[in-house]
Amino acid sequence: MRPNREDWAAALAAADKGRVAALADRIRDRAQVDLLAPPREGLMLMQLRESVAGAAFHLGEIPMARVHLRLTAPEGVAEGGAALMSDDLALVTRLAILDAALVADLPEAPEIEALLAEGMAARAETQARRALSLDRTKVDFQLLSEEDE
Amino acid sequence: MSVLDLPRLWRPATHQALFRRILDVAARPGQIADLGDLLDGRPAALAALATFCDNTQTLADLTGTLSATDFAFLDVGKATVDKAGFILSVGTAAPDFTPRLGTLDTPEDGATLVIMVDSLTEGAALTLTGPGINGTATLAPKGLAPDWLTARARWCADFPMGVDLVLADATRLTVIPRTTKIGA
Repeated sequence: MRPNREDWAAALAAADKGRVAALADRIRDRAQVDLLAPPREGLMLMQLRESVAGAAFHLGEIPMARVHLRLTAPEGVAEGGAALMSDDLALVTRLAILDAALVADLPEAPEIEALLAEGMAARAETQARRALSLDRTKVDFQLLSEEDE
Repeated sequence: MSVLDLPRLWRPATHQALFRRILDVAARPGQIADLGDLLDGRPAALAALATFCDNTQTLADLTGTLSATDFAFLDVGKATVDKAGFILSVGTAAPDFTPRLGTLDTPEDGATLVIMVDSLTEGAALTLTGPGINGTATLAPKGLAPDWLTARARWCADFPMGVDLVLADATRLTVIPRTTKIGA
């Protein structure tokens, strides 16, 4: 089963980069790819809300790359896009091509889905490892205060 | 590393070359810049907008010829014709609007009108005089309704307020700043 579309780029970015590049380049070489907006890479301000008063603040600048394109293949036409916290515009362009190819259900879709599954598994493993290491740093302040009383 | 090549019109090197050529003819009203080798079949008027516009500017497209992709690449805001910093129009349609003329304090707020004409050399000759012109210069735009010149004279009557014109045929353009006097 395919994950939600908004997770495709992050999942594919976590899959094997060599296979992602080879597959996207193979699709690009046999289809027509038109950019629908100028590809962008650079820094953008990340805005968050603090949890007490809910006030917005700027956490800092993050690298960001974004690509929006149209893929025209004999089997179908689709728009694809990708935006990633990354300065690797080549990777994000390839993710956008794969995004469009999957939307168009090109014959390469099963290969893309295999990469998606691989990337989702890699992300899940990373998130589990991160959760474990965060768990070790948790301190229950309420409990400490209760002990003082 | 680039996976996809940008269309030629949107490459930075093309914009630099366009800017140089447009700047040269803007300084010498009446002279014509041939942009044909930079356009890859796109209209010279679009090349002018690609050179002028960015995300701090606004554009009113009265021709309806700009696609959503063109707007995305121009990275320019849309505005109504009375508020836009840049206006794209066709010369055969007489103007029925008043563009931004700027103020005495901010004459640079006057709009730049990019007008698409059939040709810059095959119409009735106009005589140009003013800064940047050694004596007189002639321009012969074809497909420019006379009402444009009447309206332009009205809009530029209170110098330094006024508008600047860019006349463009398929591959060439010329610039008529508000300082230029136009005679028949």
